[in-house]
Amino acid sequence: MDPTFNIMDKKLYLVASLLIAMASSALAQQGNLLIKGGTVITITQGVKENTDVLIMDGKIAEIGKDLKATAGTRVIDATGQFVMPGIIDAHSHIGIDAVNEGTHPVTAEVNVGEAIDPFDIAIYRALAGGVTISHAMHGSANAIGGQCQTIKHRYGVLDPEAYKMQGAPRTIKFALGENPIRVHGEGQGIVPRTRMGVEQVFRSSFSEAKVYKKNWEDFRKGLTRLAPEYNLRMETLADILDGKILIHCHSYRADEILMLMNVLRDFGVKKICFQHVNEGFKVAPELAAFGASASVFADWWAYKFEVYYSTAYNAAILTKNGVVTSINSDSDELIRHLYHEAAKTQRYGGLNDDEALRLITLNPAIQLGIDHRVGSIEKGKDADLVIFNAHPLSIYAIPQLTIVDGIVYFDRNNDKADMRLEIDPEEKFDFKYYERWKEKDNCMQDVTETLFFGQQYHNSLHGH
Amino acid sequence: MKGFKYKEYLIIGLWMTAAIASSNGQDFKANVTRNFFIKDARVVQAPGMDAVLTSLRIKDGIIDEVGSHLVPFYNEKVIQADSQYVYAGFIDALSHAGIKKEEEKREERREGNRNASKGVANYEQSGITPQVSALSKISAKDASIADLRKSGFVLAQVFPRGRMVAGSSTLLSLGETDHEDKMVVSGQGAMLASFTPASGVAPATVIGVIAKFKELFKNTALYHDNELAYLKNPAGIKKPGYSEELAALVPLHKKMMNLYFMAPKSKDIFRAIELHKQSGYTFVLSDIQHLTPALSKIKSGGYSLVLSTQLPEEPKEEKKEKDNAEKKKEEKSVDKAPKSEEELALEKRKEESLQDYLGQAVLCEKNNISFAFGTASAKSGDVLKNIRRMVKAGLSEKAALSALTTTPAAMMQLSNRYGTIEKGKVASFVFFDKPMFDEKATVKQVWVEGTAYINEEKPKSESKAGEALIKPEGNWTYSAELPGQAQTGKFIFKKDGKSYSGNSTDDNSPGENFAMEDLVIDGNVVKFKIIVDPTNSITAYLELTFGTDNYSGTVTIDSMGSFAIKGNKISGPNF
Repeated sequence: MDPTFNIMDKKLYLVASLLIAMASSALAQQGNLLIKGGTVITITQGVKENTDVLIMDGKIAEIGKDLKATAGTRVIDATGQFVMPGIIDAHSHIGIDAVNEGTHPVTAEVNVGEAIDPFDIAIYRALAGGVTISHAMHGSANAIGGQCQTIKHRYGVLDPEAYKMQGAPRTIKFALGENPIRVHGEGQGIVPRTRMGVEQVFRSSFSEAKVYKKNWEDFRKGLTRLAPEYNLRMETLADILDGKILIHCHSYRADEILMLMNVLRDFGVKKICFQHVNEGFKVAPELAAFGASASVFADWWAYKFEVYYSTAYNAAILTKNGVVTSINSDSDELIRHLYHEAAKTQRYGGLNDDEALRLITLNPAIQLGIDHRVGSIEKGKDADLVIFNAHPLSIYAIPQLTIVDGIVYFDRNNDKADMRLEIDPEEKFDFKYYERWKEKDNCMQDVTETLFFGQQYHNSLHGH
Repeated sequence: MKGFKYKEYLIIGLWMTAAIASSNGQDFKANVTRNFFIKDARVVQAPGMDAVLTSLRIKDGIIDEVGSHLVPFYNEKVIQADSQYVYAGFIDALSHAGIKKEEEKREERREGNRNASKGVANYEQSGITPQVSALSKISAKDASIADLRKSGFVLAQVFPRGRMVAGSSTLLSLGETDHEDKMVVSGQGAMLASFTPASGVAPATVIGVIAKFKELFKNTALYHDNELAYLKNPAGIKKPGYSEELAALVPLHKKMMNLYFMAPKSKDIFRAIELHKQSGYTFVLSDIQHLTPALSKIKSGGYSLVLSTQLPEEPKEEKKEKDNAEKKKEEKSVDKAPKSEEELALEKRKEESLQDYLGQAVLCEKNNISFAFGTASAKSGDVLKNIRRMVKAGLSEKAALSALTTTPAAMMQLSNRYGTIEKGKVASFVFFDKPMFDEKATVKQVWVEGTAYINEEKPKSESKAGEALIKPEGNWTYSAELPGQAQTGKFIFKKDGKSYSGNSTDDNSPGENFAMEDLVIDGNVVKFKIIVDPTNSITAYLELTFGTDNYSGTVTIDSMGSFAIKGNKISGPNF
């Protein structure tokens, strides 16, 4: 319990949180729909031909034949089409205004969920690619970065709070290797300057958090009379040690991946998802034994030295070794065709349809701790669905309708040219201008330098 | 009435020499009397009331009587004002009047901070300076005070300029004095906060700022609790450490002070509301330019607001084509092309957005949200023009006048002294030649605590800028000293009839052209801006002093700072 609230505040707090809960449930709209006659890819219970899905109050109410809805419910004819769970991206940076608080090797206190950008057009584009949930992440500038936010793509809702997936566990970004070394070691001349230094940042931070936690426990027990200073960074680290926050760690090399698992073992932390994890195939059995999961690119590497040794078979090898694996985008372009990315694992590694589709549905849901709510088409789960014109692993597949909580947020037949929600009344049009500055990932956003006349230099060749 | 005109001028003329404070800071004791009788003014006593022909008796800066039957006493200076409309003087709820913009060399500070901090910033570096009082930064002589007064303002809640927590305000009467202390109406003010990040150190982003606020709120509460716990029974424990910053924040925690939170756009408003829930402080959402998406949350939260008088500019009229053969040839390919459907659709949305911005005050009025106006982020010269644009967009005149008078007076607990023209209140007024919301109305005089300030007639001139003494047309090189590199390229100036236009190229991005905007030539100084990165709306502002074949000056780039730039003439227009 927060020590700074007195009893009066507690009452207010209760009333306030009740109001907030009411307000956010009102904000997150829930719909009714009946999807008729589609091929339903459930992920967990096989593929069901010519099957209906009934959605009530934003939840999947029934899956079966000849279902009836109450009068007034919108009926969608999905004959000849494919219905699958909404795609989940376990690594993206869309829908947030800040990515890297790159001012310290440890910034556990910051939370990108506090700077959601409801006007980001990338959210709509992701919906057009069938993605209903993304994990908006802090960047990889710091060994211990900021907290991340699982968002539902309710594009058109203007309140940033309404994008947050209520009940999704807290997550935090960690980063290994070149990025934190470059930003802090080379950039500021402080620890970490080497990979050894990165390990020490974790160890010393966790140790410091233990002392912090102890000081507060002593105060709460009445062993000390004056309250210690409140430190949000240490509070957050203590919550990680208590298992309240899931770690998602930017990583490439096998040796570092083993290093972090050793650190976590020493501090009793059990939950971790390795992100990128290009050398994961080398340590797949070790990852499986630890219970760590992996979120990878299908076939993207060699953008810097530590990402040299990679393979497109990574996802398949990890999967076959029993590691819960997902395929992510880390990009507002790639997020629009994650179903193609998943299909690549059939060419490289021969995964079957269910295994390949799990990489972008149920597995990322497990990694985000939301698999009881989303990731498959099951009775009682959130009605987050996407309807394709062809099998989603086909190169001809195009998303037709994307549904979140039973509400249609993307409809290919009603896809206006200008879907922006906020217009600058003083904006200037330049039709010659091509948005070349957008052709980059966002992993190192906010730590790049903008120079004169539009040249933007990254601190390195590539940001991941 | 017409026959009296000559006489009237004479009287006003006399009165000007005798009783009016001059603008050179004379001592006011030199005035013959502090007792005035304003005869036959069209007085709007309070928002929503009609202009009524009446007289006002002023005694030593206080309104003594209001009434149409009144007659002047022998010891009163009579002021004939029957052609003028008189309103209670305006109150600026969020102002930086009297405080100079600090011209910091941002890059230097950034590096300095970075070297000093090694990633760990103290409160000051982070932009947390609640102990700063506006009064310590105000200069009575600063021109911004007279500028604000010229627009009809008599009182301003002045906040220091700053970042996360800038400091506390001072209520300032906008008369002319030799020392700022004489202008203070109330020293006990409110606190100003914003989402402005630090440079080079934490917090560098909005997420860093928010985390820092959350920590600050908790530590302020703990600081206060510890202090009380210690005072209750100090035996056996070490005295808790003193913190200037946390001590200055305690009044917010105890709800004895309001926190004016700058939240110009709806995203800022949503974030400020979340912080309000965390802190429990009394928030006044301030400097608001666009709130539409957050309207229902503002309403249900019962917030009072300070709207910025800053409005987006109207789209510029397209330049009229001239019968200039050369120009025709030039523009044939570019301007003559009909606008595409896409372009028209974009322009329509832009226009809708502009209307939305103009309608912000209307939205508040319709939803019974209390609001005042603040000029902190606006040009004081635009205040009346912009408020009239709001009225044109549907804001009632009553609501507009309330936001300038009674509402800010109530927010600052000054309703018994300011906001309306009533017996016993402070004699601070604004005189217009026409009803104030008439587009052509101008402020003729402003009274501050019984002292009159006359707005001088501006000589009308056709040209905006001064005469051009140089001929920049032609091609010029440039070389700018930017951090880490020298930027080179070309400036090309063209003369079309009387006006100039131009563009620039960049040696590192061949084939790209950047148009010069707002190009002004004044004497031998050329000023213009270039949008260097439309995606991130980064603009470079240039000010160049020209010789015959070379020039030098500065380039100021958003979020980077000012740098030296110079260049030589390559060729004239005819080569």
